[in-house]
Amino acid sequence: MKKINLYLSMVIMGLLIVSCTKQETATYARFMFRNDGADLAVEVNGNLASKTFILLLHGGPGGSGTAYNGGRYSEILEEKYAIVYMDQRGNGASQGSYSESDLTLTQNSKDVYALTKFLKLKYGDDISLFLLGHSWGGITSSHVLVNTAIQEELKGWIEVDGVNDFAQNNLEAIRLFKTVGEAQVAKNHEVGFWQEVLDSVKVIDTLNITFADELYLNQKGFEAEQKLKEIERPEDNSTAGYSFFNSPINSLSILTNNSLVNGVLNNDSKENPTSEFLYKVKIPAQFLWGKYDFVVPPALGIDAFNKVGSSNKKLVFFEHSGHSPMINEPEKFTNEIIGFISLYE
Amino acid sequence: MKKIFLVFLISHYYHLAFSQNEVGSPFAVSFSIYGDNAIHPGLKLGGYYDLVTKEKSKERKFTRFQEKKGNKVKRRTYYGKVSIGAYSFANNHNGWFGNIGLGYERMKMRKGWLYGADISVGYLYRDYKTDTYAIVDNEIEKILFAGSGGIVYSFSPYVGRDFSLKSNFPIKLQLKPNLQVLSYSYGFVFNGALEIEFIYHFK
Repeated sequence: MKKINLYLSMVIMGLLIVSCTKQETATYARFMFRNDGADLAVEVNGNLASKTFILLLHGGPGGSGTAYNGGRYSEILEEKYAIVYMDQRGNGASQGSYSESDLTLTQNSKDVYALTKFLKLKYGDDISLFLLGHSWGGITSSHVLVNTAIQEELKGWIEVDGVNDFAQNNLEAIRLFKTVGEAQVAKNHEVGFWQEVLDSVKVIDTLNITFADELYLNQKGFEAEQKLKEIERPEDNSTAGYSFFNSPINSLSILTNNSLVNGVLNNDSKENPTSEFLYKVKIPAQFLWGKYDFVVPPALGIDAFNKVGSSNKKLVFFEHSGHSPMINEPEKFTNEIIGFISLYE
Repeated sequence: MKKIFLVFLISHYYHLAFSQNEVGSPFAVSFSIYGDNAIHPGLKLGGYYDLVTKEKSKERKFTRFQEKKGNKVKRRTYYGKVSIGAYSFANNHNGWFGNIGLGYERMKMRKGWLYGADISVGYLYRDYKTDTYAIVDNEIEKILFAGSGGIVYSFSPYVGRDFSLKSNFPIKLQLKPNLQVLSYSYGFVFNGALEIEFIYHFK
């Protein structure tokens, strides 16, 4: 009998864990948005009554909006605004049925533009909408800005450590590795790691950077952040908004799909840099960059700031951040965004 | 190449079916506790039909064991199966699936320990748990019964035990991981599931 009770308790506990979902609030919505064959997973969290929305485009390719839906920065921003976490086509929990030829930046831009139209239809034409792109989401955001009429729907653009030109990104990553690496070696800090990176980047042929080189730079970029004392890592700032059991993206099929789309979208993004077209962006723009971002170095932020056509623009560096200042310095990050939005909402 | 393989498979099973031994009813039904990726809970119901069953008996090497336990008897079974099922993926979709397959099993007849594997092909429909919308003529349209689906191929090795041999309880219990390849978005991806399967074999 004791054994039966034990088994029953285990089954009930298991069912409770499995059935528990993220705390829903009155201002929480999750839906699929169908566009051109894809079903895009969308989560809307935060203060809908504010009528100010931030449409957040995740990094990757192969990332998800869900990964951004949590942590201190999202708590602060959701108190003031509604945040729309969108899983781009082929990414995260987005599904649907389409061909590989539909997995492009151009199509992603059409999706983002269509979603902004949808948000205005659903939440009212009077909402103030801001577009935020992080990392690879940066090139989706700049692509949609320069290739569609989305600027008519937006109050502003926020780019956070976003890449607009992959070739330039590789060169700047090498440059930053050399600068910071030499300084770290001189400080006698993590010498083994930095010396290995310095030796490797010095032999990369900058006129012919291979795919293997790109992978190395990207991988070491994330590793380097862990080695630097200068980067802040707040302990209570996990961005995991879901448990292992109730995450909408926790499955082997999604994981393998996301790694599959990574190559396709990466190649398309490489072939379609947007930096030379940023002059077309006329809406207010804000560029937020981690000083120690080796994945998308600060030089790309400076370049984007210089090339953007907006007369109202701002560039901010985070002295203690790497590729994700929203995680490293959440208070300063949110203060900057709140300041920017308050000027243009 | 696919046609040659199919012709070979059919002729192989046809040949084996007509050389089948008589070992009771070939029908069985099953009930499984199913977990997509082991963590998304579901259920699965199935039917089995033994196409071929053969028993092989041989004496043990050691006389002492032979006297104590008798002959070593092993049963080999080739079977066909059909199944339907569903699972719930938290905050994403409900999965509905059906498949047909063929399998092979070997069982030791003294205690009923068994192992085997089956391959199957089927269809999985992912019925979204959330509302789905589209813009039609500049207005929001809610899409009813929205979801996406596609072909699933699966390979399932398993281990288990037939309790009917030691008691009169005609149930087989099997632990069965499913290794799947399924269509998703624009291509095929890997997936996995885990089943605890109870099989009732008709007498």
